[in-house]
Amino acid sequence: MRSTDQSFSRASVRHRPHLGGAALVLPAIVGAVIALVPVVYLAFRATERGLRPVVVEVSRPQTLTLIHRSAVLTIATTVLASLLGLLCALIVGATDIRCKRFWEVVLALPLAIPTYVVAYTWLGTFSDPAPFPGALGVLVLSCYPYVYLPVLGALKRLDPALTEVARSLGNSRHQVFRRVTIPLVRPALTSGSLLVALYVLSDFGAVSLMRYDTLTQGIYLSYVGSFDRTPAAILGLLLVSITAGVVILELRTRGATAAMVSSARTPQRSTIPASLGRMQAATQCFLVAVVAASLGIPGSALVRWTIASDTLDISALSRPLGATLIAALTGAAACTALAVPIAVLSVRRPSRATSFLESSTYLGHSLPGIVIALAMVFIGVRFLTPIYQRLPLLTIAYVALFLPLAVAATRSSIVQAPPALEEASRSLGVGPLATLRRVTLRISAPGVAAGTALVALAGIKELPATLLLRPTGFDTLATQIWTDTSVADYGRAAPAAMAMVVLGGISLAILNRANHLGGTR
Amino acid sequence: MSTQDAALTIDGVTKRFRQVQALDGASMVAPTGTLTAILGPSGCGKTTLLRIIAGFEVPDAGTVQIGERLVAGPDRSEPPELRSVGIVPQDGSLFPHINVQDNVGFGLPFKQRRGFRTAEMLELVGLSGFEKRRPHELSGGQQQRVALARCLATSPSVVLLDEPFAALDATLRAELRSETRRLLRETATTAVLVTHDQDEALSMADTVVLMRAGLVIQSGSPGQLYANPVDTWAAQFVGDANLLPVTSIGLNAGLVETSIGSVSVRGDTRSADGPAIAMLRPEQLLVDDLDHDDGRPSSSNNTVRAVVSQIVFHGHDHLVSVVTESGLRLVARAPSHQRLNVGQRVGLRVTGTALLMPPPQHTSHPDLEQS
Repeated sequence: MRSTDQSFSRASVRHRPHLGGAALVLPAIVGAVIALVPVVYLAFRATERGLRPVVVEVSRPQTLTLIHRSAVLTIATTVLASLLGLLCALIVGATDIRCKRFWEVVLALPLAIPTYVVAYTWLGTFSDPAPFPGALGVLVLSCYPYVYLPVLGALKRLDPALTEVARSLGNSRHQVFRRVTIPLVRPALTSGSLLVALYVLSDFGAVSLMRYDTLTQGIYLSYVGSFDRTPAAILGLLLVSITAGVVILELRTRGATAAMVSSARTPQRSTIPASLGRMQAATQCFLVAVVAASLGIPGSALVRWTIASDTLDISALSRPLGATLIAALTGAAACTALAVPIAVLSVRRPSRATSFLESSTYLGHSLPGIVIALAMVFIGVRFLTPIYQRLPLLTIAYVALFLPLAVAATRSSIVQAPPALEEASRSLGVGPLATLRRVTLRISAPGVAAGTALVALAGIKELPATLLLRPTGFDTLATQIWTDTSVADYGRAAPAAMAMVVLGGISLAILNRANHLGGTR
Repeated sequence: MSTQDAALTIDGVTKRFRQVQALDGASMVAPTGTLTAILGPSGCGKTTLLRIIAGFEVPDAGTVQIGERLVAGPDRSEPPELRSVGIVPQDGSLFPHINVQDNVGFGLPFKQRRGFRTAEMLELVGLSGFEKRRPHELSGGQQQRVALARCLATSPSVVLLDEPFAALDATLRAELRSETRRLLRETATTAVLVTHDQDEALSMADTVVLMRAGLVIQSGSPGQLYANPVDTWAAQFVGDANLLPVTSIGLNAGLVETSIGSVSVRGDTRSADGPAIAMLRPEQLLVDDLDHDDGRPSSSNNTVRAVVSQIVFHGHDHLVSVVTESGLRLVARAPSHQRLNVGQRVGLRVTGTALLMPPPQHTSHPDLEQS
């Protein structure tokens, strides 16, 4: 008996059911290469002439000023956006605020408006805002949802039994809040704050429009301002190192979050909300003020200018609109095509190699778009001249930037597809790729679609890479808004900005729907 | 029992959630230093009652008294933190962000949190050495022990156990039940256990409070509840029961005619005017093998002939379903060494007395009729 058992198990180890072999592995490797090569090449390009120029460039007073400005803006924005996000999440998630469903959705909406659109409306609304307060205000009001959303999620997942037990152990409401609620949402708060920091470090549009020169703007100016592009590469590498530090911090806190989540189940009831009492009206006013500042200012300016603009003709809008859609949809399609094999391999064949493939794709997302764009320029000029300043290179840049969005969404939906179904399909005589197509991808379709929509949304909003890599004369909505605003032609950019917000809203709606479908499964 | 030694007194508590009347005037008493089980099917209101005792919900009417102190009444409801009522929730609900030691010390004053009391409690539940573990590093049973230690650390007047063993596997459940029982006895703690598991209630509790549709319908010792259920529903919920329609009240006192012949009954036969039911527990039916008659005096006048239709083996005994010649379905408990087969002809004899009760009323919600 025993010997047959062993021979069986040995046989099954040798003939592990393969998942489609090269058909999956090749695209996965292509994806990882696209994500990895830019940074590696940037490092090579920056140190091509040895370390001396690097030291000289980094220690220049101008560079130190850029670092200082980036740091100040990042820290200030992170602190303020975290406070604002935490406060909003607590109001919506832990009190009896009226119109809760409305606030819950509306407070997340600023995420859909690109920061350079917000900056552009501020420039037109407030005559000549000072660079630092301007950039800070725009970024805080655009970034707080990065904290608001995860903290609200953590509050919703909070098991009411925990707060009840704490009460029955002799703690008042305030003590429970301090000793249980806050510690339990802290991981969400921390990782949200780090996302804000990452965003601010990589933001190019808002700071450049507000004329607050940070590292990203420094890289851009260095790139367009001189024929020697090594300084730009060095500044890019510097920004990458700072970003990497923040990413490492973020990964550490994510480990702590995982431990918390694994021990908590989804609660069946929700925590009884704290009563606002006489504070209800004041709290409503506060939320109205937040939304008025974050959505009202850009929204009203856009509507006003679009109506006032007498140069509103559809043909002027149709070209950038078409360009935006072509670029974003091509990028989304390419990302999805590469994300599916990576996600399938990492879920179904977990090994050191596949996890390397997966995590290497995440690199790109934490890197500033301007840095990826710069690296792509270098590679394009030297090795890929046939596609330099053509759509394929822009698509590759989008893949480097947004592949992780598609991988993450696809991965989580493939995790939900039970392997038993695939096994059933295989034992019914269906091959691995056909099983992938007929079973796995059918089940995870909403998640894959959500990933595609996410990439499309990100592509529509993307500015720096598009600016540097677009084919000559290929104006997207994003580049048009940026160029028009740079020359202070606010009215002209209004229809494009309006179209951008509408497109973003549509993608967000698709995304919501896909998430909803995924959730009911 | 007198109310003087009552640790917990509940009187006429009602609670309504929108369309659902969760509690409809429930009253009960938990004697000091004992374990009281609130038993009932899901949806009977037992969890709502527990949450009202803990102070997580406010009753619409009625009072809750802890010892001599009124904690919930017409014009007041004390917040949970002032009630001195500990709770062990269904899955432990340990605080995931702090270690075992800090969980156990959570309810203690700041300086004592990592002190003697915490160590003592951990030793009590057999988890010394686990101080620095995080909750997710513990097994389900260990989590429950920590939850119990955390609850007992503050020496509450009443401990509420909310189906604390439901999520555990059978062996562990039995082990943790008896251990919890021992701990509560040792610490002389008054405890209220909420459960839908009649085995758990009967084996652990000193007093069982039976609930149905928001009302306490009976309370007493496990023995009383099993022997003298108030109605047919209670009889079937607390154990298995044979319900025999009474054809006529016998002329002799203490004897009634049923479809399986004369059965002696306890209780007042005169009160049963109109239709009635005689209830017999399965172990009150003795099964005789008629196919392999090995010379025992089996065919007396009292024997009812039947055929075995189903056998459920339990190890120590088996539950034998039979169909009598008149078509009545009955269950009997027979020792497992008595070999029986499906389809076999058997004779049934009644031992002990049956309980006379009114026939089932079909007014209560049918979905509450099952456990």
